[in-house]
Amino acid sequence: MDDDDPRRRPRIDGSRQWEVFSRDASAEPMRHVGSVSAPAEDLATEQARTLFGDGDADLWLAPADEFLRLGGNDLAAKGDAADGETAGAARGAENGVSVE
Amino acid sequence: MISISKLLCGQGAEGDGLRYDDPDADIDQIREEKQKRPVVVWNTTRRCNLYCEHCYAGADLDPAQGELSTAEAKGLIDDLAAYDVPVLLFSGGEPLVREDLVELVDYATDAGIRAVLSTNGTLITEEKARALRDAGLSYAGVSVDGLEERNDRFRGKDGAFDAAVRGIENCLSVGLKTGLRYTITEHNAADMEDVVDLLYDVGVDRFCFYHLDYGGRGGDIADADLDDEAQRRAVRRLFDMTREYHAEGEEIETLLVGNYADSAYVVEYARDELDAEHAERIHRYLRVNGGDPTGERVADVDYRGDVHLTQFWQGYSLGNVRDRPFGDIWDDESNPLLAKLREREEHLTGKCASCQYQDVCRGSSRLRSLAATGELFGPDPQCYLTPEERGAGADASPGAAD
Ligand code: SF4
Repeated sequence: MDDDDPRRRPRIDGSRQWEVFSRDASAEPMRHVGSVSAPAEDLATEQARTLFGDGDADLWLAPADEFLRLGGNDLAAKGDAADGETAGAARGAENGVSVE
Repeated sequence: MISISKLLCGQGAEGDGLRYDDPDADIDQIREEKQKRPVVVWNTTRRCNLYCEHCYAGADLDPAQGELSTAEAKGLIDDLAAYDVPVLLFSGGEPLVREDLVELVDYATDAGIRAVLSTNGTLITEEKARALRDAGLSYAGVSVDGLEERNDRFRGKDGAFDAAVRGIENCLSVGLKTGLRYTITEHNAADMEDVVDLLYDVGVDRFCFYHLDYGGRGGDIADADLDDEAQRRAVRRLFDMTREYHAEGEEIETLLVGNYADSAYVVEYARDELDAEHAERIHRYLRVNGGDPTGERVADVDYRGDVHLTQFWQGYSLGNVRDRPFGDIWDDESNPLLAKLREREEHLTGKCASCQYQDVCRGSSRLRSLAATGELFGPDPQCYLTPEERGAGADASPGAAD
């Protein structure tokens, strides 16, 4: 596969992800409202404004890859804990979803 | 997802007419009660063995950083089961490049979630099909986007068409319910009918047609989208074709996804071609079905755990399942975008604001509006309804209310 191979092109549009925070009034805390992906800062800003910028909302954007995240939802621990158990069928019954 | 065959041909001898509670339904099949939890599309990987022009996931061959591990995937499935997610659609990239796919399908079905698959079909051997069936997979949707020549060009690989058909045959041979996924564009609209004929002969009886949404690489080819007239023609042809098949006693199932102006059009069509009562019955059922499902009845989790409003809207994420369980993210209406989408009727502008079919369409795709006009609640550029059909008055000139 050479460098011209279309499969080697950068993914999507070479986007970087930006976490977005907003607040409607200065007495409020900034609130995380998700993230936008865009190839450049100005486009990320424009996207965030389109999605959240109506009214007088303050917006903060920061590159998602600059965040240090502590805590959160430990999916691997949940998955490992369930492995080897026979919890599956029980869970299905509990949540009332019927299996066809 | 609008089940055309059920709406137009599903009227049985019984007085209650149409039935939508099909146990074989996959994504947001029409139900009599509004679905409470979303169907979740999970992009299990970004890797793919093909390179399709319209791929919303922007998939390629290199392993992507941050893909959920097997243990994390099981943790995600646990979270989805705890939230009562009814259906998990294993998608990609190409999900079959994940070596743990069968294990994860098995895990999901054990957890009480209905597992369905969206695949390019080219990697499904008979052995793989059997393993997936045994793991409890309910349905495989295989993407084919035209007859051989067009499909292979579209998918960036010679032989992709034959390989997909072989994959379909392998699924059918082990008794796995299998259907076609076909994304309609300007390039392939002409092949639609021949592909249905060909695959019906192979044994496929479920045909799912997707309108192009403007996400991922699909965004680059928005120009290849059909114009209003061609949309209309393609959708109408599908209505006619479905009825022709049924008239011959061939019970094919046809579905339309991604442009809920189709809901309006099927009512108009039924009024013209069937009768007013049938049209009203369809309208009533579609009202319950609720139009465009973005941010409500469908959700997407991408390969690295980001949660999206639909599988096509990859440019915005609500949050990540590594930070919070899926249900907490999905229920968090302190997110103003999520809250607004769930009451979008109050925000729609232009022709959608006054459309008489807003109740069955809900403004269709917010993503297309955003991509085409930069407005979140503007009209969907793919809506092909005439002003008269929208109820804009006989004197409205086309586009006047746009
Ligand atoms: S005008 Fe808007 S609400 Fe009406 S059918 Fe078209 S897209 Fe849907």
